[in-house]
Amino acid sequence: VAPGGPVSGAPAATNGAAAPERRQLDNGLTTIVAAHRAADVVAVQLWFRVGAHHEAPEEAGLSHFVEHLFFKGTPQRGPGVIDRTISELGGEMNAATSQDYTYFHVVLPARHVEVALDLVADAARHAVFEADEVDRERLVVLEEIRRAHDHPASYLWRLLMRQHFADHPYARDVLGTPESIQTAPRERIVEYHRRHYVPNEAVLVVVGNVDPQRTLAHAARLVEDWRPRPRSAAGLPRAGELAAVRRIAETRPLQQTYLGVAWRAPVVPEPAVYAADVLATLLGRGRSSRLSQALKERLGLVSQVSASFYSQPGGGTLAVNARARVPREAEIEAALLAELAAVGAGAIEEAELARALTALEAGHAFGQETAEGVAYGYGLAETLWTLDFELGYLDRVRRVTADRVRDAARRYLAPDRFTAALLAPGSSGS
Amino acid sequence: VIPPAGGARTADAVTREVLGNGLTVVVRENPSAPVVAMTLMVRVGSCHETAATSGATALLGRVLIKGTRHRSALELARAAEDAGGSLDVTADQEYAEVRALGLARHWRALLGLLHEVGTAPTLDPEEVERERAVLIDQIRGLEDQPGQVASRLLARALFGDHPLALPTAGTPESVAALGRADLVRHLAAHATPERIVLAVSGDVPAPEVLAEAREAFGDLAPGAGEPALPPAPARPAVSRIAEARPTEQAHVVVGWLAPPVSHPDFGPLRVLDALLGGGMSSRLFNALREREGLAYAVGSYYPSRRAASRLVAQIGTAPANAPRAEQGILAEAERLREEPVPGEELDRAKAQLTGGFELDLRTNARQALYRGLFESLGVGHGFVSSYRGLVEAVTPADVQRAARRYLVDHAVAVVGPA
Repeated sequence: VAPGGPVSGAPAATNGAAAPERRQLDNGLTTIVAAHRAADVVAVQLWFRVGAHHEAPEEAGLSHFVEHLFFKGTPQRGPGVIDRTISELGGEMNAATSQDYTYFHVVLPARHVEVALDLVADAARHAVFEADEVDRERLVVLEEIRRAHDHPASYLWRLLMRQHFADHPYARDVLGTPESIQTAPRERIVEYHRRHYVPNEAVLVVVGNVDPQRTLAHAARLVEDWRPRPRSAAGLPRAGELAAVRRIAETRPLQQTYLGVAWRAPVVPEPAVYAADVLATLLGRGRSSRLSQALKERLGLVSQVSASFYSQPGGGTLAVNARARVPREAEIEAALLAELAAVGAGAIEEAELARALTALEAGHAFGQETAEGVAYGYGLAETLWTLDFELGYLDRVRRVTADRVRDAARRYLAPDRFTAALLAPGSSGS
Repeated sequence: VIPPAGGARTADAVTREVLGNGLTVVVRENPSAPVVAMTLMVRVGSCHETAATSGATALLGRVLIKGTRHRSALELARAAEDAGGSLDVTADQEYAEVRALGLARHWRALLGLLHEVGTAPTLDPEEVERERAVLIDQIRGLEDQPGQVASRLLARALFGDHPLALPTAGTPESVAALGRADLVRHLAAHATPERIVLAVSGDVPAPEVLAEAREAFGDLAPGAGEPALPPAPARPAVSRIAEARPTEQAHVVVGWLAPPVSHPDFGPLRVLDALLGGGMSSRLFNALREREGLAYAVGSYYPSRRAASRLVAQIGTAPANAPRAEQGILAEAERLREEPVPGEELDRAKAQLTGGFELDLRTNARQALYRGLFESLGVGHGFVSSYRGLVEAVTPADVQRAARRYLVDHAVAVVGPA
């Protein structure tokens, strides 16, 4: 049960596997079912359009708290019963919460698909949030918050996002704060759940060695009585352009320096998202990528560097993360900006472009190995964008040209408008 | 790598061949996705090092992929990425691997890369310098993570001056002193064909892969034999190590010495590990997280090892709760010694163990890793299938006997605020 990070910028598309069947039920629940025969298992995922950005200040961390409590019991199944049932069948479950979505995931032998659907449908409609369970789980979430603090790379990412999205709901920590978790009364959690976890804001995805029609019919029967309710959630604003360089820095007793730099980037369905994916790949995925070659191999400034692109509905992010032995952050930043400028100004060779496209294609192919990999791609796309975006992703990204990548570098990677976060060795403080 | 073991679901099309020089090749054909994973696994690791050469395997691995007689570091990286994948290295306690992942249609290119870095590396002095610095950084990065520090301390407490206590990445001091000559010596002494396994899984034609592997690796000259490790200690060297760090949580690990994968008690102890701390219905999870709310992450592990292993329970908790968490772990160990496990709970643990491994075995990367690893550990790649039977045969009496035999002398490491 881990908190979800930001959404992936390169979701798996699905050219190879059986075409998914998408249907919206009368209560508004979207269902996506697809056969996947690589193994005799099935993945059942329930996605909700609810995450940290839906939370009011006093509700900070409740999406994630609900994620922890979701499978804790229903009138029919007491505390621990759902976990035990899945274990007994040789299955596994997990869940994740992000700024924009929450999802619950079960994978188990395909012959038990109906059990998985029963459990998920029961929890979705009847989770009880029993008071003792809530209070015990509160302690667990508080430990999760402490734990996240002790991991420098994840803490740096949170610092970066807090500053990058200052004045935007995305600035909030998915885990909430110790105070918000400590003080949230049970009633507030129940009310939050009642308000947001409705079928018309949910997507049920089933992928595996199952008969799609029978599975769909069974799922539809199970959720027949799950009543829709219009959700009045504040709209998500689009994060404004950065006007200058924003910085945030903290020190603590560490042996390494951790740096993150972020820019605003496009959002699905803007056509530039494909070029942004290629740009991030060419900059910082793999040993031969430009940043790895320049900052690590040629200049020896960093011991690790990577680039990523996240297309969240409230604002896209192109980010670079690095770890270094000595606090030479100014030098590292200058070298980074020089490399980015070179992408915008110089030539991108065909071989380099082809290599980046191959990496994206391979990422997709590896996502197809498991039922949950395919289900994740469908669920994420339908929850945040559209299933069609996912299905057409690979074809569209293959059409990206070197010119488009260069345009994207010029347009998004401005040398004077970005956010920089630093976690450096020193005594604790900011 | 901690393979929970289990059984393959179907009879996979797997071919195994031992070449004339002793190198083992395992190829699994799997048409389900257009990808391939392969590993060149060598039975050498930190257990073959000394305090002075600690980190030699890790540094050697890094430098291997930084240039061959035919290609530069950048050319190697590009070749792997052109094949839709990557070339990576891992150095563990008892094995090291160079592995390649990519699109299946490029399997020849990927196999060629493994062959090239395995047999014709230049070990360029400049790359040795560069990777030495990067490895020292990586060690310092691990030191920034309290859970990693606790594991390192526990290995020392359990194994004392036995080489199994050495950290796989080495120490900043030992790595700083390693030179090219040390790497050349390490490679020549240990990377001999009878200690090498090539394992391949993916959408590839097995006969052609085998033919190519024979061609590529068949002429490696056999080595002079494998050094024996000193016998594993009978009890922990030290019962407690604590290190003060200004962290938010205290990281507590409790460990016991445990037998290797080939030992008759491996099955019972693997089931015991699942009961104690494997997943969301385990005893530690239920007692310390679900009932007491002491932790977010709590569990145990028992890695598959050739010479000797350890069973480790770990938890991260608020510093004030550290003593209670430690007592809680020891109380569950005591309960396993004192009371037979109820049949229903045992069945659940077995189902979770075998089911979890089957799920894990679905990707080609894991198939190549586990098949190579089990060959390397001496139990054969078919262990991925026979393991199910091993687990299912375990009785409550077996578990209790294993608990009484192994969960006796423990060591504790704690990292957190003083």
